[in-house]
Amino acid sequence: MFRTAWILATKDLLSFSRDRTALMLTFLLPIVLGAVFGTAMSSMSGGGSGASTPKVELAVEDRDMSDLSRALVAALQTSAGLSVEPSDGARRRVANGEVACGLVIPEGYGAGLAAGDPLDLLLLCDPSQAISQQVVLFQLAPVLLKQQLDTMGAGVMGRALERIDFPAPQRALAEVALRMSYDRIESLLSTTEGTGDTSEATPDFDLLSDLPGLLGLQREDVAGRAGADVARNAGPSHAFAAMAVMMLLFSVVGAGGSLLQERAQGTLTRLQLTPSAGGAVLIGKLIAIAAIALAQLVTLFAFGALVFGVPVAEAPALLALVSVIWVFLAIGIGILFAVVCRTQKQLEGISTLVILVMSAVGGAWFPREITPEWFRAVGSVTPVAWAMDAYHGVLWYGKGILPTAERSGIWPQLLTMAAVALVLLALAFRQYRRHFGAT
Amino acid sequence: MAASVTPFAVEVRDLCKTFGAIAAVDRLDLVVRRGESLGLLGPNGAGKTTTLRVLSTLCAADSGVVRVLGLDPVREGAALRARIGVVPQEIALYGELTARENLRFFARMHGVAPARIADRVGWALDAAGLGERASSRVESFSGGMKRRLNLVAALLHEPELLFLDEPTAGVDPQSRNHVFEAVEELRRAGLTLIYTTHQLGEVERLCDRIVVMDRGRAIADGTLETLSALPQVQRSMGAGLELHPTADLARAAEVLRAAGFPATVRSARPGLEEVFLALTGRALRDGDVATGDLDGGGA
Repeated sequence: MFRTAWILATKDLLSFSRDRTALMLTFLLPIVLGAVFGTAMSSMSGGGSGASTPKVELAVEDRDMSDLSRALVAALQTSAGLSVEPSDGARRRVANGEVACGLVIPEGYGAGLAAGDPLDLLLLCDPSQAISQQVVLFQLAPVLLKQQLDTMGAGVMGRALERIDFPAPQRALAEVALRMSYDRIESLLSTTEGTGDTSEATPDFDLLSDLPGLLGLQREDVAGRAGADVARNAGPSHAFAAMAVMMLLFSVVGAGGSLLQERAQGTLTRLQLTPSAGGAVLIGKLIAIAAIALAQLVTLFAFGALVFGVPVAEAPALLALVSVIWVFLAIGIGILFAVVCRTQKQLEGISTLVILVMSAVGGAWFPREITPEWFRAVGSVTPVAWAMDAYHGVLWYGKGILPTAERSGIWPQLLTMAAVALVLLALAFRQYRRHFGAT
Repeated sequence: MAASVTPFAVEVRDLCKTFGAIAAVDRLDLVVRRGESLGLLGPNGAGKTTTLRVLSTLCAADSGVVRVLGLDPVREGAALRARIGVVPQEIALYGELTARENLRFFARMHGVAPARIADRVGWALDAAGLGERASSRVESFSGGMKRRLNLVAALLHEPELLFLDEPTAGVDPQSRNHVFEAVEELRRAGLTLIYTTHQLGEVERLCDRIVVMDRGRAIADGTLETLSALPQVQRSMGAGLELHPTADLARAAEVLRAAGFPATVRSARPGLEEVFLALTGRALRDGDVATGDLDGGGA
């Protein structure tokens, strides 16, 4: 029996070794995805260095323009994890999703600090970019503490405790924490930076939520869409946008594969032998795939709206427009895959690899802002990134097609997607005629 | 361009078609008269399928003159496709659709007038012997049932010229016989047929004329009798002598040898197919589908 089993096993191994799709999915796909995730995760955990270190963009609005406020901005600009962008409209930039956080330095900040009674800084946060917020907070902390200590001396400790009005039971603990001074806090930050891991803090002292108070920061969540339930909408809006983008690609490529299936089973030849053959066959496929894809999106967003409160009903027409354009871009990708692949198996292997990698770098799996700049640059030229920006822009930030005084528009994403869809569909038609067409 | 009136369904002169360095069809001349039933024979790679593809508009010739029903397959492809039917070698049907749905779909694709579709589909189901299974999914059919449906799907638009590319491959003798009878009926109705197969018996039964192709060329053209009379055929075959079934074969052999004829005498036997049909009858066996086969699928 064992001999028979061995013979069967060697046959299976031989078959496997000759199946290029299986080889690719078994060996290449995990390596590529591992590399993509590894790059992103090492950045999140601070493992990057130099050009690979992700920098979170921070819009700084200096309303004070004093020596001390300028010094603060200059100090922040030297911070390894921040890309500081002086801005007159930090709130607008956060609300548009252009930056994860904005820092407003109020008028009188410098004078107050010099007098030992600094005004609070305002930290504006986009709740949908939670990881970036943590990075910003941990990068701000040493800079602010150093400036306050340098300017006001150790007396800042007591004032900080008064400011946040620590309850008596935790006062001793807070005093211990404060006594650790700048070096200890920096040490704490180095163990938690970027990961949100506050395990070293005691249960009663939540570093993430208490740190802004200690630093003299007023934190304000800036909701993307007016009236949005920040706590409820931020995550699901991103998650359902991501699923709409990634799963649609899978289903459309799968449906496009029916072209190869029809060729393999001979029905495509039979269709080409009908009087109205030619482009009509491909157009018919496109219509069917588009109908299925739109039905998939309607189902997905209806579920998201009903169960997770995704604000689909806020802009249904715009969401429909984004969906239609994305469907046609996805169809362009899917049909192009189908016409350049020789078999359905080849299509499955290549498309799985490309879609998963494109989804990862394009921001459908994790936010692009936590990744290194070069990684972001690669991701930003993928259709997944354009679609994610468009969907998230509508669902979370409440953007329209054209810019308004408060919001930027999503017309660049729509235009790019539509143009690329047209190019890909034209290419797909040309390839179809070359590889599938009759005379 | 209007089709010219010609007695020929197919006229091919000096047709060449290459794929890379391989000449699939090499200076082929071929004429098929209207109403004729032509058998296109040849080993694998002889160029039969490529010839059919060129004639049926599926690919363009590299050079040569091709007219089918008076039309140019390249420049008048759409008009020609409306007048020809092709029974492909593959089972070119949608397994997830029923027999009726498949036929309705292909009828519509072929431009059959909506008012006539029901009639044509009904005719096709009857012709295929599938009236009772019209609402069953094709994926549940046996190989023979699919073959029959595959055949009638090419006839829905009442073509003038029918190409059959090995239409009986892999089917049971009953279904093959059913296909033969259907083709014979089409022949009687005056349809022009071009039939490719490896089964010589099929050509013998169904075709008026035979063209043998090899290496892209027609190497012989004629009826079975004229081809049998060819010297190279005669050289490779012995002559036959018919004896009464009750004759003593051993004695006959002795007599022939004594008379100076080198002879081997053996009893003539019917083909296995004839034996099988005689024993099992000619009725279709679609009911056997449910018994399954070694793979667990339909028979």
